[in-house]
Amino acid sequence: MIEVNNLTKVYKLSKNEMAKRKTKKNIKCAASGITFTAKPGEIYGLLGPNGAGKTTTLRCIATLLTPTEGEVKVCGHDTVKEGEAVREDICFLTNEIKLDPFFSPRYLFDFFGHLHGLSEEAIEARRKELFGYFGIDAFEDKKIEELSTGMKQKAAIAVSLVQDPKVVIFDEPTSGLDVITAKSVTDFLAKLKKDGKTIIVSTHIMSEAEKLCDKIGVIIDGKLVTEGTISDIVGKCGTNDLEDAFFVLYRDNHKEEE
Amino acid sequence: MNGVKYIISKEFARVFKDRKLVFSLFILPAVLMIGLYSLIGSLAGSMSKDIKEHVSTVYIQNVPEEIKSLIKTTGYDKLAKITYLQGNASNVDEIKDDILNGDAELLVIFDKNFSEDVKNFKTPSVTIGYNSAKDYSQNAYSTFNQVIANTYSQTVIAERIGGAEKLTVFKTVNEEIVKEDEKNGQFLAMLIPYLITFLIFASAMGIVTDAIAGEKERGTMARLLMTPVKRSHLAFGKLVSLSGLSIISAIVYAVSMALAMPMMMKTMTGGSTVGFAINFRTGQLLELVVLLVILAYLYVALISALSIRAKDVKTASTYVSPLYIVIMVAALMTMFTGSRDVDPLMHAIPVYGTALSVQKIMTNSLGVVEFLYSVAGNLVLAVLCTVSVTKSFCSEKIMFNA
Repeated sequence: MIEVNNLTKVYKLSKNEMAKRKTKKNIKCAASGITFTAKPGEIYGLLGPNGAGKTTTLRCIATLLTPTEGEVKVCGHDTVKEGEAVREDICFLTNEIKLDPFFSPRYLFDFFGHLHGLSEEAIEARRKELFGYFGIDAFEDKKIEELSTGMKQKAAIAVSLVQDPKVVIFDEPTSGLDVITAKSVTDFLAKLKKDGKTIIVSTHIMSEAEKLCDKIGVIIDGKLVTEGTISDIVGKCGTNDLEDAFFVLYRDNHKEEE
Repeated sequence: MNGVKYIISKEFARVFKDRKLVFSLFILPAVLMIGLYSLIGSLAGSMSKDIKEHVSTVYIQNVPEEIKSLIKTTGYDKLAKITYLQGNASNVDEIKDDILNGDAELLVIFDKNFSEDVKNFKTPSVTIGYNSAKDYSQNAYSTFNQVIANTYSQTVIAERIGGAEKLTVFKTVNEEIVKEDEKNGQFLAMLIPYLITFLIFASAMGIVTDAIAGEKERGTMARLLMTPVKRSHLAFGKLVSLSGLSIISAIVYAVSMALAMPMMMKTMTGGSTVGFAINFRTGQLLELVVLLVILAYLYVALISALSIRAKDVKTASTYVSPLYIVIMVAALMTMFTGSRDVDPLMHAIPVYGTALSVQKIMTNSLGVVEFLYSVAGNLVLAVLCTVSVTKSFCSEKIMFNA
């Protein structure tokens, strides 16, 4: 279970960053009063354009960032006060978090298994399960730098799931992947959902969201502008599909930065 | 603390599982150092041999008969190709040009009435023209002075006062009162502290910037931070493993140098090892090991504290560069300390104090207080840096530029 309650994250901007963003404000509110709950056995989709605050929200849930205001609880643990306990239960996968290119998937799987406090036997069993599922056995001893993008993504997913976490967070899970690898990833998300995991996925691919997510939250300019099932959102916006609903929400809620 | 163990093993695996890295970090420097020093020794040796064996082209104008016969009796005519010039020779300027261009080495011009003037107790002059920028000419000049000019002068003085023995006023008997260790380690005591303190830093710089800023640049640091291991343990694991690698790298440098230096000096000096021989006692060796381990840890902590603030390896190297110069200067300062007494408190200055202590270890003169000051000075700074690195590991601004 993930409970996000009134999450606000404000970044202080340096003079360089202010110049880059062409703004006179020395702060940027990346997330403002975001509240939602993701339950076990459910895929919660965070939709939003680039820079909307999806990644900031996910990073706060994953304990990588500290909320400026509000609180986030993962499996009942506070992400600020009980960061280590949260990290035992969570897997965070994003394109920005990569695997060390100098090691093999097998080495890294074992290494992160050890850091999660797993025994050799548990690591071995988990490796067989995940490497078998993703077909990583075939290249488990090759260095990451020698693998294709798809292979790397599969290895990254397997390594992230080493401790069999209760909560899985995927930031743009299929971004940059070919159709076949993307399919294996979305199939795996469905499997995780079936296994009763709590899953949050951020994406801007509407078809992917429609296919995968049980519930959707739309973030625009750091605010959760709407939340509900796909039919709820489509109904509220009076459109035929999620994509059109998203454009309506964007048009009504987006403000140009001063 | 289990996390620390796995971080250490990963950092070691990162280096030792990569053959290219092992080669470039440990084998290549050793080969280069031994090769370089051997080459310097052999080139310097052959240069000095060549200068000695070179037959100089010498022109002598107005040569007196007694000098001519001295040239024969001393065998100087075999060391040089001598051309005697007449009193009114017109090609003196051409000879000077030849000396300037390196085609001749020496032009000696005696006064016309040289012999007469010497007999009459007047002071005639001998003009010796040579090119101080050319090794052959410089050597020809000193050989002529030593073999001909000085010998002749001594002979004339002896004749004037009625016997060579009267020239000796007293005999000096030299008695060396010196500790063998100090004498033998003199040269190394000047060189090694500089090299060790500087080389450990040089070894640490590449490894640490890659392991800290490199991990941020490659996006692999965040994955480490996503594990339930305490951030302080992650930081400590990194620092310990990187110190280990830096020490191994520094040992490779030091051993290569220890092998290469005597080889070089033997080639250059024809076999003498004075100033290069050290007999370490167990205590000295222990002190050296303790000091170097702490120094390596301090360097790693300092470089980490700077590198962690960088987004990539390139920026990290820019941040570390000024520190590199400071370390070099601190290490260099010990080379010119000489044998003057240094206040024991100076040993508490990080890096410089260690270099001073290493210097004293080389001559077996390091006191317990000085040793403890060195250890304490470095440890205090190392602890401060460790705290800074640990705090940085917990800072989202530094780790994620948030």
